[in-house]
Amino acid sequence: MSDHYDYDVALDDDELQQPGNQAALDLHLVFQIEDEFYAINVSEVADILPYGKIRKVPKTTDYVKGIWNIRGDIIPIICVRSKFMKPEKEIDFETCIIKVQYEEYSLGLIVDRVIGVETITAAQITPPPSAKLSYANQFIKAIGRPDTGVRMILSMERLIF
Amino acid sequence: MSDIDRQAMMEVFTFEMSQMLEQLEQIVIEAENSYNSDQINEIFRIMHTIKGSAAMMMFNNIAAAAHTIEDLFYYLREKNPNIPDNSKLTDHVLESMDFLKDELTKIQEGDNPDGDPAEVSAKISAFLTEIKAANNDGPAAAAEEPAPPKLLEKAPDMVLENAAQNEPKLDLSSIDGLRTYSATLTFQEGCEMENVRAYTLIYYLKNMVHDVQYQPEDLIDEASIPAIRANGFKMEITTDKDYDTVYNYLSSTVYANEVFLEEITAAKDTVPEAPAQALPAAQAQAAPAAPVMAEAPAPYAPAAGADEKAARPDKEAEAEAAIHAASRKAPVQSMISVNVSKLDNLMKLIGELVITEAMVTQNADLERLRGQHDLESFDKEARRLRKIIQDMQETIMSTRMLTLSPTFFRMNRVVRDMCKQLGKDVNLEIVGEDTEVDKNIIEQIGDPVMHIVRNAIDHGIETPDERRAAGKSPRGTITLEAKNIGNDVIISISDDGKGLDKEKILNKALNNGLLRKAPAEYTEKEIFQFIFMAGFSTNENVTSYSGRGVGMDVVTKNLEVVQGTTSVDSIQGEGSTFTMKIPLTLAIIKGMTIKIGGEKFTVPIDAIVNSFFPKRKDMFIDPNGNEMITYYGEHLNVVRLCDFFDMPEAARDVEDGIMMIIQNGDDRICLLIDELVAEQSVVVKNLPKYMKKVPGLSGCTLLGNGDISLIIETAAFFDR
Repeated sequence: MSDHYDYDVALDDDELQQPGNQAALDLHLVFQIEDEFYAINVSEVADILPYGKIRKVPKTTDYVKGIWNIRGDIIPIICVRSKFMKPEKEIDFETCIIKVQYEEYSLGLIVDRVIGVETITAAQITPPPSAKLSYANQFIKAIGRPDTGVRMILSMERLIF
Repeated sequence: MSDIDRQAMMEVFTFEMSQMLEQLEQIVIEAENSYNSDQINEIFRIMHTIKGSAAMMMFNNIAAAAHTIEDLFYYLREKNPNIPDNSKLTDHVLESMDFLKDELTKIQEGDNPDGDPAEVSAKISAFLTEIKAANNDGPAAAAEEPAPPKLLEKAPDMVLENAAQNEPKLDLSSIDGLRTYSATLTFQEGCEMENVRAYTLIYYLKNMVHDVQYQPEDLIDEASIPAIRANGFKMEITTDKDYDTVYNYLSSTVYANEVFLEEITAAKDTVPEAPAQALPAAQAQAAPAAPVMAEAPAPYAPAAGADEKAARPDKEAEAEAAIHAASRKAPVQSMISVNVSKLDNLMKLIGELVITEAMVTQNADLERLRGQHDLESFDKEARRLRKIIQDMQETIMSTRMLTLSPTFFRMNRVVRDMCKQLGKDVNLEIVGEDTEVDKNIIEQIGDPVMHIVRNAIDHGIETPDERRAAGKSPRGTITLEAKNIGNDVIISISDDGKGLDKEKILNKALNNGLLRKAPAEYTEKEIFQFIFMAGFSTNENVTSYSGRGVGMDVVTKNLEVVQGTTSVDSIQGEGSTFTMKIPLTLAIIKGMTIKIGGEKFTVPIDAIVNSFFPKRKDMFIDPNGNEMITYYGEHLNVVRLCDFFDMPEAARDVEDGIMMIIQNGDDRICLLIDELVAEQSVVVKNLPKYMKKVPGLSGCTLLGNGDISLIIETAAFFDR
């Protein structure tokens, strides 16, 4: 795909693969939905791609937007906004698809904007409040507070199922 | 031998052994009640081969078990005795085969085959004694006859002809270019059976050199093992090959540790007259004749080979056969075995090729050129390319096709065993076993077929008494049938037993809380579908064969993997028929790309009968709201795909669209679509696992321009 480009991730893959590399484990990809910032661990991220035309599949749940061809791989695309029960937003130049790998599932997440990769150390992470007030709250694994602000760390399992 | 070599040998071994066991089972079941001499010979031969190759691979327990069976059949072959109880013989053989199979499974799963052959061996031996006793051929009498091939726990019996000593010696020096080498080969510690390995080496060496002598001479005797371990295996080789060739050949010996090779130049002039007590290296030519090698060595000239072979004792020929089989070097081979992963890879590549071809020939750049230039020549070559790719694809597909006969014939055993145990009498009829399907599919349907056959015998077929009472022939019949219909394989398993009990199934479903609507509303088909659910068994008594409720859900699960479907038809008192419908291959299909509401879909070409422009006046609607159309006097149901897939953007007026008639077996319906795009081969990809199964879609595919097209599963529109 010629129209595909990679965001520069702070560390290259080799470095990430190294076991026990604490710096790598602390890296999170931060993205934005509405006014909130969310984070997922980079170990779960396979690729970041600009939004492209998605093939609708009839009779699927509404947050599943369809399937997409990434270099011969066909992956399902989930809209994080509709998963969070937020109104859908028009696609613009900042809309991105984050390709994630969770267990044997490979899928794409539509997000409003990708901020970048940030380091959130274990010391900066606190558990979420126990009371589940908002619907979206159930997707949150922990709350990270790096110097840049509050980042809600998403549980991939709860997000995609 | 490196791990990789052993791995490769292991693969060959397991592959061969499973094939031989299958063959054996077939023979035994066929013979069942009367063994003719061909069958006895064949069983003997197979057992002998298994024993030989198992010993090669150091699976001593397998070799030992095979050996006892071989003994038994050796006796049967030689003495042709009256067998008091043929079916008992069959039982014994099958039992030991099961032992071998279990061991084989262990090997395949990477475990150690550690089963103890003592039990089966003892049973077989006891049975042999029994036969002997019945034929007044007691131990005394038995002792006189040539002892059956005596196996040595580990090594296959082998006799090398050091017998040919008296033959006139060939003057090797008269042949130009011959060189004599002295070689010492040591085996790796702990490789075991050095004598057998040395024998194998000599066996092959003889085919490529003019002469070879070796020491110790009697490789059959296990007593030679310590000598080989202590001094290495010594050879004197006369050949026209150069040093490197010989060295490399020797080094390639399985488990070889070190090879010392030296050319004895002097030998050429002096004739290798009893060379040395120890051949290693330099002293070889100078040393006086040693006692071990004292007899004039018998040269093994190629010309003399044939006669000698004929004169060799039988046993030797057998040993040879075993080695031949073990090393898979049959002289003429028109078949080769290939690792399936290579075929899978090839299949994937051809898939890519099909897509890429479409990408090239439908390239946007090309379309731009087409406006300005004449591309006739390009188009011609492109068509030729497509033709070649198509042929290639068909060839690759055909390499993956296997007949169903092994899967079907395996059922003979299942039927036999169960009948014996349950006291039923069942005749298994097999029809269309030559039908070919993709290998992946064969793997998936073995278990389902077995479970259904088991079920048919256990639940379906009555006991002979019950059958007589019901006015049927006491012998039940189960028919296994396979046939191709369109792009599918249909496998049906029918019995003439008591059929399915609708009431019982419905009650059971009710008790298990499986009913979703009033019991009276369930159709026959829906009721029968319950039996495929996990944990569902109407059998009150759990038998060793069925009743635990596992089994039928395996059928559905395995079939889902290959996108097959199952259905049941049953008439109470007359029997039931299970029908499995499986797509012939999964990978590449010919499809018609169509458009509905601006989106592309692909319909498998085999399902399409034809397409036409519908007229509004031909359409009518029945009271249930089903739309129909009259086409050349035939009335067909109409499915508007846009409604089926909830796509409001599509054509509403039938005269704006196209009707496509599709068929499934004998049934036909019309699909209303917007537009036909093109016919092309497409590579079927599954929808991502994450997505639930969408009714009416069987997968997706990539078109030439990278767009995704969804593949329509035409069967979904029938039987709704």
